[in-house]
Formats: sequence, structure tokens, C-alpha cells
Amino acid sequence: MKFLLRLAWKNLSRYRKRTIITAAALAVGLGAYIFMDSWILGIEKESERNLVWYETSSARALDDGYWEQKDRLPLKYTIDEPEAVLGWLAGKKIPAAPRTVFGGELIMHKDPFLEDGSLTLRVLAIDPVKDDTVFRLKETIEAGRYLEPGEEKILIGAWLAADLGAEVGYPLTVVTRTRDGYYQTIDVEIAGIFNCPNPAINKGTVFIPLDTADRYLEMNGAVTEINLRLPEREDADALAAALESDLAGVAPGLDVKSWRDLAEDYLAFAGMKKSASNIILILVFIIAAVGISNTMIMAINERTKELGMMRALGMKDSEIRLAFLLEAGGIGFIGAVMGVVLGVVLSYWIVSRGVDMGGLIGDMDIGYRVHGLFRGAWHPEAMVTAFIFGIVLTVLVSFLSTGRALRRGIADSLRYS
Amino acid sequence: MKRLVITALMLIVIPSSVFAVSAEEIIRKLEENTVFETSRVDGDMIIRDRFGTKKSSFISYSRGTDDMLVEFTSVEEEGMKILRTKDELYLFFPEAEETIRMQGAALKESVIGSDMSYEDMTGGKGLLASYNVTLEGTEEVGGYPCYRVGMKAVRRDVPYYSQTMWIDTTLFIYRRVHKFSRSGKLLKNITISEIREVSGRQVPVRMVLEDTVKGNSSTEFIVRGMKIDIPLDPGIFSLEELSW
Amino acid sequence: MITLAKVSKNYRIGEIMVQALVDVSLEAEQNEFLSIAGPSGSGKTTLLNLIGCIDRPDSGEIFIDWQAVSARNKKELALFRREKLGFVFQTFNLIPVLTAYENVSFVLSLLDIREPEIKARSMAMLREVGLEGKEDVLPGRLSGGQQQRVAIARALVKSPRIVLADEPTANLDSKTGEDILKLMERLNKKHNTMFIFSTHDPMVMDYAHRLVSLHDGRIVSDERRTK
Repeated sequence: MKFLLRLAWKNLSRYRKRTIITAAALAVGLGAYIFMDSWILGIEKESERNLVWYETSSARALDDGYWEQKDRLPLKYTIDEPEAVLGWLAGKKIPAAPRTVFGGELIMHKDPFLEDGSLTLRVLAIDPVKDDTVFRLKETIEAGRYLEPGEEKILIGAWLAADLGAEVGYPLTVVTRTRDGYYQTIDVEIAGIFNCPNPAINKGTVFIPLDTADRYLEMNGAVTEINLRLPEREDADALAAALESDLAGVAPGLDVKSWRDLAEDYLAFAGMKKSASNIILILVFIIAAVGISNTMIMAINERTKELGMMRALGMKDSEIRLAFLLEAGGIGFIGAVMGVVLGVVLSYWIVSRGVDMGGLIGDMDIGYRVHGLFRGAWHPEAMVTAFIFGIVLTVLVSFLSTGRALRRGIADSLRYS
Repeated sequence: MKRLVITALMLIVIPSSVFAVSAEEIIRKLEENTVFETSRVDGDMIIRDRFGTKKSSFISYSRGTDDMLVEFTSVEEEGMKILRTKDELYLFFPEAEETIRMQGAALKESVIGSDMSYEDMTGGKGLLASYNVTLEGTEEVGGYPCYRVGMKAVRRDVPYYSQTMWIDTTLFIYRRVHKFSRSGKLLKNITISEIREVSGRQVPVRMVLEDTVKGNSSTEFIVRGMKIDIPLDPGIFSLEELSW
Repeated sequence: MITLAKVSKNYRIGEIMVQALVDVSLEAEQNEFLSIAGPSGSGKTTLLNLIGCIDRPDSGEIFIDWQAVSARNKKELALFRREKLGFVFQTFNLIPVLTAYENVSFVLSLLDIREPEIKARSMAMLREVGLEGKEDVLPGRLSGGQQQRVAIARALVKSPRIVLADEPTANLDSKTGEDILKLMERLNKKHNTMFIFSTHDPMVMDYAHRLVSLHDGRIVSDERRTK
């Protein structure tokens, strides 16, 4: 064993150039993996944060009939006495914000707008006083101001504003239906333009005051949802379940959905993206594996005679195999160390600096709830995985290549030139 | 008692008097005028919006107040059918070979990009069941004297909370309709620009529907040919035959 | 003691079957210094490979110390070679990354021998083949003769029963070749090790105590010489 280790080490240092090139190929693969992983993780983490901050909150109380119909934005399934729920939550020191969500058509006319037009979108009616205890929309106002209770004003996203050529003070009409189903029109004026890091909100959502919506939609105080801010994002599912059973005594017939439930579409999408990027990583690894096996096959072919000699002198196949595995393991180890170092350097850059994708993707919706600067996040598990994987990969590849060489007869190997 | 007798007498003596006609009666006459035992209409629908002008053609069959079948014949929509029965509205798309029952939010969608929604095609309950009507006076529309009838919804399942109709005092056909949002903004303006006699009945043959909120789109309906009280196979109003 | 009984071996080269050995029978005693002579293609190397247990005959049987080679499996043969056989190759076949000392000592490290003994025996063997002072030199820096001396030291360091040498002098000049043969002869006498070496060089044949000539895979003569 000691001899085999020494032999492996000597071979590694003898074929230094080849060792380094192969290790470098592996290192690039592993570094790319660590980098991509860090980047995707960073984007996911930021997406989740932006989901909770701007879109879903930590958890949301809804009428128990709402969820099934949620895509239609119904006003039929409402929390009719939100004050009772809000009061109870205040007693528990849980920040809460009622909202009413409805579908509407936003209509603009030429002058001051560039041309006549309309678009269908989601209108969120928010309580200007309570909303920023849960959401962070208020902090993202870029022009104009935030909403005040009772006024006929609207907040629109910067992307939407840019598309429409809208500015603060411009008039808009929202065409929608009252809770009873009558056509309703709400004439509003743009109070402010927000630029929210969550593109889904930035692009297709507008905000009006809750009491204004209540009046126009004839809600009689009912709201479609109460959003909650919970301390820990991780435990949201358990907390939501606990709250749901607690709230049963306060206002029966409510569901409490955690942000994970609310963001199920996003999470499914993120899972899909993740598997897509995993496929890319598998490709990277295949390329690295081909490189390594190429090197190993070359090394083994080159030493066919040497191998025959060693077998003739009585070395068992298992010992010869071990010698090559040790050698490959050495390349794997060097490559893994280099790869992790490379990965750490690249991760450091993507974590601390990030890449501004704003110019590249513009206001395209790529599904992630991030836009502008895309940063990474540290992920030590991935580095450990990459390290182990790098060594295992090389050893495995060399195991297969050695097998081929050992199938050749000894006499045959000795004749080989 | 005496006053009541005098009033009753007056109603008998001058029945044709303009002022003696109640809003309810006007609407009833209007509805009688627009409902046929059976009918077949060959028509065009011209949609004008910011993207330009688009013409579609259709044949529609109707029976009584409830049943109606519209079949599009223009190339783009060819074979698409809309069936209205007493309570339901169905859509058939030939390419998908699929029949869809329209309900909920889907009813609010526009019919092939026009200013008419599927919801506008439903109904059949009768205006008087859905609206409180009041006679607000007489006005001329396009040179024709009309009753102006204000309508306020009493039911919650109608899309427009209020409407105003200008109904021709002699033909009892509306010449203009305004439909309002809950807060009173004019949403749709329907104008009848031509009325023609078909088999002894007066029918509107040219109608324009404008979306007044968007302001830049209108849909014109033109009746190219119409037959009234013709024999129709009752099967054509059944769901089973929709996909044929 | 080696016994070959009617050993045959065929090779397939492409579509053609080549008869490398045909019904070869041979016996060799423990202290023999035996040369297998013949032109190239006569089956010398095949015969050595069969005796060296790195190839198996198609028919016939080989006995080494009265034990049939065919009865052993691959692993047993490897262990047998490790303990009992030494090889010297025409092209030396040293491990290029190991020093002269390491090339010799590694065969001992495969056996269950402790480090101090390995060192003592390897150094003694290198001294014996005249390479004192060259222990730490890599094969690439040794002359051909020196490399073949390392190979002989490697073959002999474990005190094998038999040393098989396939044209050991073919890649050496005649002076060096003679030196190598003299060394082999001396070691044969000293250690009582059987040497079987193949050659087509008459000078080499002269050194043999017994000369077996092969032609087209058959033994055509077998003469013993007294020296």
C-alpha cells in the first residue's frame, strides 16, 4: 500500500503538466458548479424575501372558499368582519394588514397619455396605515407619494408607468365589478410610482386605498384577505397552521396560508429552473468526466507495457487498479481543491458584487422575483458536495478505464508498443 | 273614490294618449317587438378599434325569448358557434372540437374581440324582472320622437346597475341605449341607425355599440337578411347538435 | 524443476491462425542455465510466457515443481509469480518514475517482508550487479546495460526459483551484453537459480549450458554443453 501510494504520487509529479491540465478541467467544472449554485441560491433567497416583503407576506388569512377560486379574484369569498380578526391579532402582537384584491381594466386616454389604451390587471386595495407594518411597498415609492385613506388615487409600478408613459398626477379609470356584479368605474389619479424589487408586483399590479375600494365595490367593510408578518420565514407553515386553528374561535371559516402555499406557483417554477440548471451542471460534469477519462485512458495506454510488467512480476489486478485509483484520486483531490478555491473566489464576487442583469433582461419577466442586481449567496454544502463529487468522479472514471486495460492479457500487454 | 273613478274614466277615454302610457307598458311593447316565434338572421359584425377594422359574418337562429344559436361564417372564426338556452351559454370551437359552458368570469370576456361580452348575450329574463323603470319624458333621437325610460337594477345578477333607453314612440323599438356603471359613468352607447320592415314587422338592421370608457372602439351589427316565423328544426338549439 | 508436456499454443492474427508452439515437451532442472534459441517468430517468447505463467497453453500441461499450472486461478498465478519467478525483459521495463533502488525494492514490498530487510536485500542485490552508488538514479539516467542490471537485480532480489529472460541482451551492445551474461551466469551458480533465456544471438548461445533450438514452434535440437 505504501509502495502504491508512492508510485501514484511519483506518477502524478512526473506527468505534472497532464496532472495540472486535468485537475484544472475538473476545477473549472466544480468552480462553475459552486458559482452557479451560489448564484441560483442567492437569486432564490432574494426572490423568497421579495415574495414575502412585497407579494405574499409571511401568511395570509382568507375565507375558506377563496383559495379554490383564487385565480378569478372573486369578491364572493370575503372576511366580512376583519376588525375582529385584526383585533385578535393585535392582542397577539402580530402585525396584520387587510387587503382586497380584485381584477380590473385600467383605461387611459390620449393626452396626457401618449395614446388611448387599456390593460387588464390586478388591483390591490390596501390600508395605507396598516399595510406597511406587513409589506414594504411604501419604501419603494420612487416618485410622488404613498396613498392616504379615502382618496381616489392610485399607485402604479415603475415598469408599468414606463410602458404607459405615465407620470404622477395623470388620470386613469379602473373598470371593474362591484361585489354584486355591477359594472363599476373608479376615476383615479396617480399619486405615486413605486419601483419594487419584485418584478411581478412592479409589472402587473396597482394599488388604491382600501376604504375607497370598499366604497366603490360596495364591500360593506369586508376584505378578501388579511396579511400577516410572522417573525420566522422558515416556520411559516407551522405558524400558519397554528393560527388557523386559533382563528377558528375568533372568526370561523378562515384559512391561513403560509407564504409557501401562496407562492406555490413560484416555488414550482423555481424547482423547474433548478432542475434545468442541474441539467447544465450535469453537462459540465460530463465534459469534466470525459476530460478525466481521456487523461486516464491516455495514461493507462501509455503504461500498458509497464502494467504488463507489474502483473508479470506478480502484482494482483486489484493492486494495479488501486495504484491507478490513487493516482486518479490525486488528480481529483488537486482538482477539487482548485475547484473549491475557484468556486469560493467566484462566489465571493457574485455574493459581494452581483451582476446587474437589468440591461440584459430589461423588464422581461423571468419568473424570479428579482430584477436589476442578481447576487449570489454562500452555500458551504455545495462546496463540500463539489469537493467530494470531484474526487469520486475521477476515481470512478479511472476505475472504468483501468478495467479495460486489465482485460488485456499480460503477454499482450508486454508486446504492446 | 270620486277621484279614482275620474282617473279610471280618463284612462278609458284617452288610451292612446302619450302621457297615459306607463314605462312598464313601453318596455313590454318593446320586448314584444324584439321577440319572434322563430327567426333567421344573416349578419355582419364590424369591429373598429385601435388595431383597425375587422369584419366577421354570422348566421343566427332564434326561437322565443330563450333559445339562440349563432354560427360564424367568416374565415377566421368559421365554425365557431354560440348557443344560448334558457339558463346557459355554450361555446363550440371547431378546431378544439370542444364545447365549453360559459360561466363566471368567462362571461365577461369579449365576443371575438367586439365590444359585446358573452354576458351581453345572456338574459332572457325580461327587463322588467331585472329593472325598476321610470318614464323620464320624451326626446327626439335622430329626428324620431322617443320615450326616455330610466332603468335601475332591482336584481343583483345584471351587469349594469342603470340604463337609459330611448324608445321610438310609434315603432316601440329603441333607437338608443346608454348603459352605466354603478357610480354612474356611461359605459356603453348603443345606437340604431336603420330600421326596416321584415314580414310585416319592424326590425333594427343596423346598430352600433360603442365602448364609451375606452372611447376608441365600436362594434357595428348589420343585418343583411332576415326571415321571421320560418320552420326551424328544434334540435339545432340542443347541446347535442352543437358540435355537428 | 519444470516439465512441459505436449504444449501447444496458437494465436489468431486477424483471420489467420498462427501455430506458435506445436507439441513442445521439455524438462529443466533447478540449476540449469538454459537458452532457447531460434529465429524470430519461432515461438521463443511464447514458450517463456507459458513457463512464466503469464499466458496459458491451448493444449498440453506445464508443471512447475510437479504442480500443474492450469490448476491455479488468475490470482493464485499472480501470487505464484510474485514469490517464485523473476523476469528480465528485452526492453528492461523499469518503472520510469522510480529510482534504481525503488525498482528493485518494490518486488519485495509486495511480499510480506519488513522494511529493514527489504532495504538490506535490495542494497546487497544492487551491489551484486555492480550498481553501488546508483541507487537513487532514475532509469532514464542509466545506460542500457545499467538498466538491464537493475532489471536483473529486480528479478533476483526475491530469490526466485526461476528467472525468465526474453532476449536480455538484444538491446545492448555486444560488450555490455557479454557483461550481462557473465553476471547472469555468476548469479546462477551462486544462488542456484534456474535461468531460462531466449536469444537469436550465437554469442549468447555460447554462454548457455543447455541450448534448446526452436523452429516454427517445434523443438529441433536440445544439446547440453559442459563448461
